[in-house]
Amino acid sequence: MTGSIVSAATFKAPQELDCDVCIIGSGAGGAVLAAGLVEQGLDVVMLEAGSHYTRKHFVGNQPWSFDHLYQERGGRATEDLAVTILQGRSVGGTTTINWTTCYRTPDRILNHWAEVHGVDGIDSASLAPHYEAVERRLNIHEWPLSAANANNRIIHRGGQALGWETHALHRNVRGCVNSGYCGEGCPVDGKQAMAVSYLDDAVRGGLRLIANCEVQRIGWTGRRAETVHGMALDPDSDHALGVEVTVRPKVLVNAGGAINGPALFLRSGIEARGMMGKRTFIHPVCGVAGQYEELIAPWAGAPQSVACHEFVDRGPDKMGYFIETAPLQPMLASTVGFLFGADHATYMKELSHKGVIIALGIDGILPQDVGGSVVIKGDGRVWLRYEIQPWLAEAMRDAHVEMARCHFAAGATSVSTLHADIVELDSVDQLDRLRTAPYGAHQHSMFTAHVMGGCAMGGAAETSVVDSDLAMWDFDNLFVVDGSVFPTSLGVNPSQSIYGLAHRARARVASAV
Amino acid sequence: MGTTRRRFLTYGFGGVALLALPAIGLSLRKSVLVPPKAELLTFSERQYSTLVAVADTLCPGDGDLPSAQDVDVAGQLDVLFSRCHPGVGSDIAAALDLMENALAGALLDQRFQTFTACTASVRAQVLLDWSLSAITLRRAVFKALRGFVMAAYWGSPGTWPAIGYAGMPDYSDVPSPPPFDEWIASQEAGGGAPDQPTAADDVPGATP
Repeated sequence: MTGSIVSAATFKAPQELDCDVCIIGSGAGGAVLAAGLVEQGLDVVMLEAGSHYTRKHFVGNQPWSFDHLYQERGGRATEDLAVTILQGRSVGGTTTINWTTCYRTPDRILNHWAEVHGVDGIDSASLAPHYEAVERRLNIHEWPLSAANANNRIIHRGGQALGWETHALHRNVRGCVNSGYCGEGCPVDGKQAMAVSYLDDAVRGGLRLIANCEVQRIGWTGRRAETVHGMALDPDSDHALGVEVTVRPKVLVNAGGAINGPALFLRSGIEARGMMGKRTFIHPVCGVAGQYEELIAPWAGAPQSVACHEFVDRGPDKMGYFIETAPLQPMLASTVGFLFGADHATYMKELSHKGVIIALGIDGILPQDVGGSVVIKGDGRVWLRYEIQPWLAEAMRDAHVEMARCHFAAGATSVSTLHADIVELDSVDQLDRLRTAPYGAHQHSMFTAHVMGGCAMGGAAETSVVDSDLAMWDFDNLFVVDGSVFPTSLGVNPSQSIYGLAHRARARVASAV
Repeated sequence: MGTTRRRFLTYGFGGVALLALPAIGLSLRKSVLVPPKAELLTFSERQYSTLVAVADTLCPGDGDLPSAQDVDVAGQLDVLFSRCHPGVGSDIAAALDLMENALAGALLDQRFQTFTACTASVRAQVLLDWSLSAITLRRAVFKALRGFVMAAYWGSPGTWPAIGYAGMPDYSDVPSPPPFDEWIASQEAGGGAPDQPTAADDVPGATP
């Protein structure tokens, strides 16, 4: 049986659907799960708020991409606007626009989840067959250093000179042309995003995927989720069209991702004893730019292919961080920092010779680090309340110093920060200026592309939202299968951790039907 | 929690308006309006004109680069915000109202004119003061306005030649990879070429 992808905008009248499983959201979690469920012969309906786009739409038009492929048209941020949040919003979710970096969940994180959060039965051995399956389907493999662009080679070259551990990254690509435009939708279908992999499998197996359908509320009674209430959206404006879509599933899965997933629960009065939306983590990112004699063209080539985990463990009382780089197409590059006018024009004219290193804070590991929380305001807007805590500011200070050292070791002629009061260094002898610079909200640019948590997994109903099988403690037929179940951040890019958990969840969700 | 951005924009502006009563003349200073290039969908003409002034201060252009007005940054953003949650447009509108108000300018920035009536150098000083303000929410408003303006400006192809950026190459003739089932069968039978990354000539650092 072949399924379909239809836009709810084409519906002329309200729709009422029955099915075995309804999945809300078509990203990394929902897609992998859906493919497995239809393979087992289940009738699955998937609702996705975003539109369905294909490679013909992905032509390097950055304004179009941010407008159509990102949450809040690229303008999502924490409540205080201190941290820009890059999250996807289309069929395929964030996998449509992520930078393809894949890691298995590190053992140290899995051990922490077991020891501190009571997560049961999730370790590297039990996850291995699931990872092997998704690695095969998505062709996740090491991207060789020989194909790394100049921007990523900075980390390799600088890190090696400083004696740091650096490594080549794994990517989910097949037929990649090294374009560098992963963040705008792959123009050649080389990235094995969900829309061209697991969703394709699922639709061929019978999945009914309804795009442009925003779920507004879950109807529930006692321990059962009964109905899903969606609204058709105009594909261009996202304005509600007034046509309702109601689904009555035997089993419901929220795979709407961190922030949106918990927000839907909160709108539906499902608060998980006050824990819904709490423990949201973001791998907060800061960056340092280096100026080089040679051409870097930081927009060209695979966005991420080298990383450094030298600073993942900085001791018991300090937040760790890991080091990667980011692609710098002009639009994205221009939005960070505080420069403007002639100074910024000069900065941009030097962009082709700039490289950037980013540090991603590993939040949620320190005992006192409870992360952020999802809140819904009176006008209906959803916000992430996330405060920059002292331990994060300390980690960012340390990271700035180390990133600058790496740039100079790699041959940078100068280094500059993204501070409101920009710090510019001409030599490694000036690192103290970074140690005395201010760190925190609105002192410098921060962003995230890794939103995790909000429906934390754990060993007891008193301390978590879902159990180790991703089932909601308070329900008999409601699951969460996305990055919102992580009880902490990961210390690595999260997509493969979501793929793996979703693959593992296939059997448990199917058994609940 | 403390003062939120929204509360700052709403009540802060309201408080400023109260203070304006004895200084009504100052608060009624005229704006310099710029006619929009298309029907406005989000902003009033005054707000649009303020956004034009902010954008031209952030991105004035030079011999190589167009100005923000040349690429219609304010018009692009007026359309963008019309497609967002209404609260986004009203937040930005409130920020622009605060930026434009002469009394607020006198209190916060020591300037006695509307923002649109200021010279380019005064506008630049005002925005610099906002970016470095001890009041976190002023920095937040600056950061938000700057981010949207920069994205619209540098997303415009007219700005790219000056920085040596040619845009994404045309990949329309590059075929998609073969269907997975077909490809994996070939791989596992040992008959397919391994998937090798293409080291494009225009990727500095990458070697074939």
